[in-house]
Amino acid sequence: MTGRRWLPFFLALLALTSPARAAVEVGATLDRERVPVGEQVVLTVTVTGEARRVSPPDLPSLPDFRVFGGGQSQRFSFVDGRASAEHSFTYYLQPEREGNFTIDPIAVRADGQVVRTPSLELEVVAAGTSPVPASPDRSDPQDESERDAFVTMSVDRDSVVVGEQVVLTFGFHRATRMSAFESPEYTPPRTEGFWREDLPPERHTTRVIRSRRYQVTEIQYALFPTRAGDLTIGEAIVRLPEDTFGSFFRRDRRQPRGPRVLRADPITVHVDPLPEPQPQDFTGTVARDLTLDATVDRRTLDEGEAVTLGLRLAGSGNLPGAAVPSLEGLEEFRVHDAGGGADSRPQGGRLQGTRLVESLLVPRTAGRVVIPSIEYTYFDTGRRDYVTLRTEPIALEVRAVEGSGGGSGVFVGGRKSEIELLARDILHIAPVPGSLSPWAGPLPHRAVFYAALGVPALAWAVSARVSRRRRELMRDPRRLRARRALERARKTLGAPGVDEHAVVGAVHGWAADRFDRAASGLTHDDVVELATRHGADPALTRELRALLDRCDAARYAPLGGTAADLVEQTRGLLARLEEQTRNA
Amino acid sequence: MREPALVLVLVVGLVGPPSAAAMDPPPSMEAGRVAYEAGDFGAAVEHYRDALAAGADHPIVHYNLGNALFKSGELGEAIASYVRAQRRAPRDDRIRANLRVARAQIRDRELADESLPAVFVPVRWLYDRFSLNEWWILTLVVFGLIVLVSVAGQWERLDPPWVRRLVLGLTVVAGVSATMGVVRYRTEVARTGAVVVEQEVEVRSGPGSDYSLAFRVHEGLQVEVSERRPDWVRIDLGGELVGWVPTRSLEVL
Repeated sequence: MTGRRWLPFFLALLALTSPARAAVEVGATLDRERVPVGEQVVLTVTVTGEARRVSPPDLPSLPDFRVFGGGQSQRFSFVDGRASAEHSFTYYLQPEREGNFTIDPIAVRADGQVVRTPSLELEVVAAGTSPVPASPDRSDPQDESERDAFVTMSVDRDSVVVGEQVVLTFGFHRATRMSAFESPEYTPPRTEGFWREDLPPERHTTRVIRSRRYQVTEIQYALFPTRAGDLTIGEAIVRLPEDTFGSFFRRDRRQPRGPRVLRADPITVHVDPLPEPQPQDFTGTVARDLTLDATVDRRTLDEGEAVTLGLRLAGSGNLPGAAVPSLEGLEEFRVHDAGGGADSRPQGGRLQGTRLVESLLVPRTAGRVVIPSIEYTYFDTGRRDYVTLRTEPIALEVRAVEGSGGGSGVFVGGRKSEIELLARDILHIAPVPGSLSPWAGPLPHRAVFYAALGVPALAWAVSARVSRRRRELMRDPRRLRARRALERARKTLGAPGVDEHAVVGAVHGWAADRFDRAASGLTHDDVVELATRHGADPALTRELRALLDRCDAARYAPLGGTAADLVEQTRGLLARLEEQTRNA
Repeated sequence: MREPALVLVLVVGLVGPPSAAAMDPPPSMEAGRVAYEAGDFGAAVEHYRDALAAGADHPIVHYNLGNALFKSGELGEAIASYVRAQRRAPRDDRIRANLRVARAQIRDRELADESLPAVFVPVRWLYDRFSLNEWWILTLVVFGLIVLVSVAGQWERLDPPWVRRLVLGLTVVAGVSATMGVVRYRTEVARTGAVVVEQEVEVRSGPGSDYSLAFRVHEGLQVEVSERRPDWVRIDLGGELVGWVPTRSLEVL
């Protein structure tokens, strides 16, 4: 076939093109590389990045194609706190003759700058030749009724190396006048030998094939072969529950209606091993246009603290399954894994991804330390060769922490020791003690806590009350004398050698103190009368009288051995008198 | 006087020491030491956990367990053990040093930053001197002394200016220590603290994985648990940093 290179369309616009900023990326894809005359191929132009205003692409001149606009879509996302947008513009190209065609770079204006896509290649074959033909299971494809619905399956390339991305596209075509598809059952193809990732979303388009308009639903997968050899992608099947749509067009209306099964034939992909010799430090990763960035969360830190090193791989391919960069040559640090993450998303019809690996690095020494360049070797499917990525070295300033045992050395006895502290680590475990006093829980949860709070308060209150009464008593001599009357009488009676005179003195003294009288001059009658007046009952006053008379009689007839009994009788009598006269 | 003597006996005697009765160290402590020094940190962790299960709730056990966990790479659980040890023995320099080393290695350092304005630094220093129970014992002892001096004044007419100054001084000390005790109680007992023990935890707006992602926290960060569900807890980092995480991603202190 003769090739034809299409001339650029807006030359003036391209002349004004400024250097593209890294913040905006533009890509263009065709949904297939081979298409029959009369069928449609989908051209998708994708603009990603932080651009806020994106103008529709300026397509180059395409005289051998009929071009239909397919609309546009936008998608926003936030990555690392930065907003990013993806604008997609879709066009349907319907070739009108056979041949190999090159679609020149497409210019897109984003935020005032003009960015161009790479050129695209398309092979147009004779009408009726499908790149991967669909094969309805029970009919002639030329049968009008059977052409009401059919399936296709294609790959964007059929010869790759291990790990290289293959985009598998499954298409379900149905005539637009048919609307009675009720829940077609889809069985995806088996993809043994491949790592498979979906490329959402499903695409819904309209195509004209042989002058008939079809609604097309396309599902795409990114496949990554895991071994070399001829790998087969199994057939894809769609089961339609009832052939309700085709009856109008059936030539033989007696033909029974029933379920239909549409099958797309298997596809074989030839997978070559990775070229030899492989570099020693090859990580096993196969991708395209991979980048590696190293970042730290700070460049100045105290000794003993950690810095977070983030290594981000980004590019086209199976990045979530990519090998982690090796952190060799970091002898100046203690390294701890701090996790990370992976993300993949379809962009421009292919799977793009990122792989983030984060590590905590604790410098072993104070001063200036450097995170060396980190290398990552992978196989680039675009260059068909091994590529080694390198990060820039990152210098850190580690401040010595005084008194923490840190710094480049330790201080002993006020002078810097010869011993160099190689790393700041935790202190050793404590020895096992001879005995343990286990913790018994929070003190406020123990009753004794409230007892220890309440008892002193109670004691203080009692003490305050008692001392107040005592002070009041001390301020009233009469009351104090009366209160101490019995105590003084008992003291007199308890003296050694007590006799009837002492007994009489004790009784008279008690009466004088108790009733606030002068002891001298009191007679027995006065004592009895005072007791009677202050509430003593007659029997007790008679007993008192008898006691005093007995004491008088004893002056003439000594009591002898009965003195002790007299004292005891007096004690009891005074106690009862005290009791009966207390409230008087 | 009998009453003040009784008060003193009650304060000193009834309250008793903050720990339970002394016990012999369980054999698992020595086994933990042997395993640790042989470099078998996983076995050391198990032995120290056995010691705790045997009732040896002692700062040394928590400290040694923290060391074994740290050496095993379990940063979050190590920090939780060090915090427990420090709550029981706040003046232990080893615990403070190792906790500092461990906390220096967490990712969410800004969230964990407990630096205070200069005016509060002495208060914080004082707060850190004593444990929860020590603050309360100090409060009780000073309270007892206040009662003792007051009762003596009641009975012996002790009313010189120095006695009043002494009572005033003791009252201030009792007030400060009681305040510290209340704050420690609120921090360590009334509120539930926890430490993140998984490398990265997604904090969601509700108690379920279907809720939207609010933010992420990382291993070693100490958080406050403000609400609980069977499998989810609500954590509060102050301000708008509030959300729900799976219970398994935290170790409650």
